[in-house]
Amino acid sequence: MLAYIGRRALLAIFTVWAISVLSFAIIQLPPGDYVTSYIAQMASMGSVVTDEEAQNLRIQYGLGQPIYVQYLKWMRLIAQGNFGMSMEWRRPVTEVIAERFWLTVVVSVASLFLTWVLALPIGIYSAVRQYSVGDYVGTFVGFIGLAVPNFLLALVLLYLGFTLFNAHIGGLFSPELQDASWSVARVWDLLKHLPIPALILGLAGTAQQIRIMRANLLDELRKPYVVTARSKGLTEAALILRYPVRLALNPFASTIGYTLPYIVSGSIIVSLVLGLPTVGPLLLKALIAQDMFLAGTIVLLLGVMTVIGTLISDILLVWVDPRIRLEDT
Amino acid sequence: MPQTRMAAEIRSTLLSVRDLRTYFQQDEGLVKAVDGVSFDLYSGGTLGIVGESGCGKSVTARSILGIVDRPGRIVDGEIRFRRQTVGREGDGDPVIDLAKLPPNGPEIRAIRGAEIALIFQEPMSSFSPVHTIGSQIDEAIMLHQQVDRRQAREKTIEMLRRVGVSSPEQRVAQLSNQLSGGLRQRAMIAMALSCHPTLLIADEPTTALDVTTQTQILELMRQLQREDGMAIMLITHDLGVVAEMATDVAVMYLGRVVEQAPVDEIFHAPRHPYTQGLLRSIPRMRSRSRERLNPIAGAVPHPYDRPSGCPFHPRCPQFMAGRCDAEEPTLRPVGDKHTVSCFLYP
Amino acid sequence: MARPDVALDPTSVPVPGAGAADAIKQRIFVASQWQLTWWRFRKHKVAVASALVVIGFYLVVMGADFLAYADPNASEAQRSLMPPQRVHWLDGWRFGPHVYAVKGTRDVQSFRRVYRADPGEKIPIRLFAKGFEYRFLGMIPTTRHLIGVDGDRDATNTIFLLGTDVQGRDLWSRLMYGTRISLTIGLVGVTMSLVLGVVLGGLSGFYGGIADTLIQRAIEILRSIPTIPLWMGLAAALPRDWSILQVYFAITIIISLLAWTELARVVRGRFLSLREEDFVVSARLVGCSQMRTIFVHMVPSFMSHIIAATTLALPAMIVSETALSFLGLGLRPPAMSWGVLLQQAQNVQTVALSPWLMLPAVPVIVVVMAFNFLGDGLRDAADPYGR
Repeated sequence: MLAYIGRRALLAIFTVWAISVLSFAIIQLPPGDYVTSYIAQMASMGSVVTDEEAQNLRIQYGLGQPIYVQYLKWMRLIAQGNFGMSMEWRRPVTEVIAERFWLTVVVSVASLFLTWVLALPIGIYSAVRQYSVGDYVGTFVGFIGLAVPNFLLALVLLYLGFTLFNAHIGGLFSPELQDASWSVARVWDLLKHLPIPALILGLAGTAQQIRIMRANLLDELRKPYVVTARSKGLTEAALILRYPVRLALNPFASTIGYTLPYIVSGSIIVSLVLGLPTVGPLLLKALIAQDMFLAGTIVLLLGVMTVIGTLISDILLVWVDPRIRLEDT
Repeated sequence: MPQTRMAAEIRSTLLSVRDLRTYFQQDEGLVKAVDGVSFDLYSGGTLGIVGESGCGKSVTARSILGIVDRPGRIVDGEIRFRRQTVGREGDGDPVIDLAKLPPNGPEIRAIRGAEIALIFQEPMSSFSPVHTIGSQIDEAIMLHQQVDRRQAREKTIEMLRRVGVSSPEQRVAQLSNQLSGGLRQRAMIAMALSCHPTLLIADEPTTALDVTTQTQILELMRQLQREDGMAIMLITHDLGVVAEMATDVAVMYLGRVVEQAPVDEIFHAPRHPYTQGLLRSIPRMRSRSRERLNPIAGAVPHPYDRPSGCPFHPRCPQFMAGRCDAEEPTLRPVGDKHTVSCFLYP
Repeated sequence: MARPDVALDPTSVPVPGAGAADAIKQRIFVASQWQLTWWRFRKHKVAVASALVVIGFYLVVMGADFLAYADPNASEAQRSLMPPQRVHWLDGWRFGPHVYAVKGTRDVQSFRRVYRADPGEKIPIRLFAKGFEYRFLGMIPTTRHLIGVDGDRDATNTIFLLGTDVQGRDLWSRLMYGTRISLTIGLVGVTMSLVLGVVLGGLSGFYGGIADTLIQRAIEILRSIPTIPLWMGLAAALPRDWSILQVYFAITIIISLLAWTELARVVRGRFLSLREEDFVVSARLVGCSQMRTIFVHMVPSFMSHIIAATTLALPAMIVSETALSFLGLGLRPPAMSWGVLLQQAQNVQTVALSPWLMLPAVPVIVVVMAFNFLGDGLRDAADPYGR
């Protein structure tokens, strides 16, 4: 089992490296170099950058040197916690991202959790009561989730909420608590606002997982050990939950990890539509304004967060499947 | 040849199947897997059910316990079973018709495992791959007996020891893929017998095993039968196994029982042409070398293409045109506990 | 006397009284794999209906110019944000579809344009009317469109079936052209993913070993990366001065770079399971070269799976492009795709006042659903073990 976790961790490290390279590419792509734009930016604000400061910046970022050197210097800066300056906000990137990043994590995790909670029972029911009304309804709702892109769903729901209920569905906080500091009341407010964004984000993933669970369970239900359990005298409900569901959970659990990238991805656009104070709207503005350190850092952090989440879910999978635990390979 | 035969006492009937029909409604048509099966099983005896692959033996076994896979359904017939009460008595015990019980209801579930147990051909896939052997046997015990987990575990270990599993205390914590084929089958037998049923249905229990293990398992079953006095319904296509184990034999063809008789009669005085053909086709140990084998002419018909009248008539050497292809024969007695379904014996 | 041996073929057992049923079963036994797949597919009513829907959409792609009636780029401030016009089918008692002319005025208090229909002035809708010039199928110059109105095309005298956008452009016509771009971007992207997926998946599955490990790890890495931030980053990095066509292809390439993983997995899985099949081993033993084994023996076995997987990959492409353009990072005006059209519907206030701006969402949803049902149907039909 340790070997398995070790392999996954190694893979995670490689993935993070790949993401860092891609993020770096994003930072480097726009024409011009960072320092010249920085100087111009400062100048437009009326402050002057001395030659010495400019030179220091050049050394710090390795400008003028080969690309891989620049990359390494950037990595070193990150290791020190220096993610660069946001030109648009004129503050260090870390300050700009701060709270929004954690909110992104909260929304993503809530969405993932909701996916689990919904997909499992609906999938089981669909498989056991195949071709029943409940199965068709579940499948249909699932299709809605798969077919309607999440941002469009958000848009439609916003519109309906606005026109039918005169309610403002978007946002993660009520207006008065929006910028307040953290308190129990604020946490509670967040929890009240979470379900709708979490549901919109997770609907496609839920639909997918329902289908996977249903297919897995249908496969398992045909197997001989189910007949054995029935011949012992177990009730249908007990034997289904104890045996085939348990086995169908394994491949199911391993796919859950891959819904996280999708959820994080989706949260970007959905946040824009719903006006959530997460990293999404920030990223878009940064890209349009060519505020590259902010954009690149966001991409990097999102990627790392996703990889960590996937790794955690892989570890959970091991806990669920004793066959992997007992293997010595 | 059969071992200790039951003493010449009046043997009571434990299970009596009459005209059982189990059909499968598939997209391509209706498959009549079991189409009028009737036989009697005597308590304490061993009934061997023989037939070629696809003749409906397994479906019959599953119909008895009501665990036929969808889309199969019992559409007709009776399965009269004598339930055991405290301190087994002779006739006068409550006899119920298993075919009429609500599927998966509490009555049939109380019988499954506790009074009628079933063991399968493939013990590997018949155990759950992610649960330990021990926990699966414990479960069977706790379902039907009022014991707690610790007591159930003790009984499990005891049962495993009884069926010849070495170091049962360690084995209970292992998964099915960690045991050899023979051990797995023993564990399966342990699970089936853990609640001391009166009837054990064994569906091709030795087909997947090598010959040595086969002998051991059969010997084990005989021993347990002697100790517990239970009846065995042994489903197989191997006439050698039948000769060794059975006290009575029922021969099935295409979903019907064509002959039932005590084992001696079946081997020495078979009446139905199919039974005769089967016995003729067995290669003899003392036959001359290069002697031709005697298969039964023709092939088993496709399930969607059942012949009219007697199902065997296209291959029957004593086919009577006008009779055998027009009407269906029924089982008639031709001797003591010997019935045949053939127009040669009206 | 024993009967003479009959052949082992079950269909030739002479069974008295069978007849027609026999003939049908005979067909089932000798049907080829493609025929079986087609028959199974036909039984799925929903899948067949979806196939028709998809075909319908691609007909629109071909005839976009014909179906549009107004120049999609003709902006007209006087017609900004007009709601969809109601079509009246009966003129008096005769069948005469028409719309009412619409007068627009500026509301002095809200500074928004308000439109009122004038029942007195009816504008009849003509079939095959003349409109703006275009080339049908890119070749034949003509001015005929499916529908239109008589007379000059000016601000007060035309129809707007789905209303107009902020710049007064007819939404229906723009939707027709948008369909063309959105659906073809999907095709180009899927082709690229298909090539990448089949090649890499095939290498991975057929040869195994190091190639397999490397490609597998690469696939896993790519799958762990959240796609949208990456696409956004790459798309934003495209130089602003690129032409629409260049942007179009660049976007396609960007999307395909991450989308091939799913197809590769399917192909790899198929190759892996087929490699061990006896018929493949016998092909090799008989002396077939590797190329021949792959293309003549293995590929036909999973062609249908590939088709199904490809059909399921298309909607993802379409949605990706729509999402990117919706954000303003993908295709940009004057290009028209569903995403670009939806850009105008980005916030709730706008949408609350002009809900018809959300209409381009409808074809997106319909197409995605249709492709999903179609792909599912194909996949079920191709799978010999399905129920």
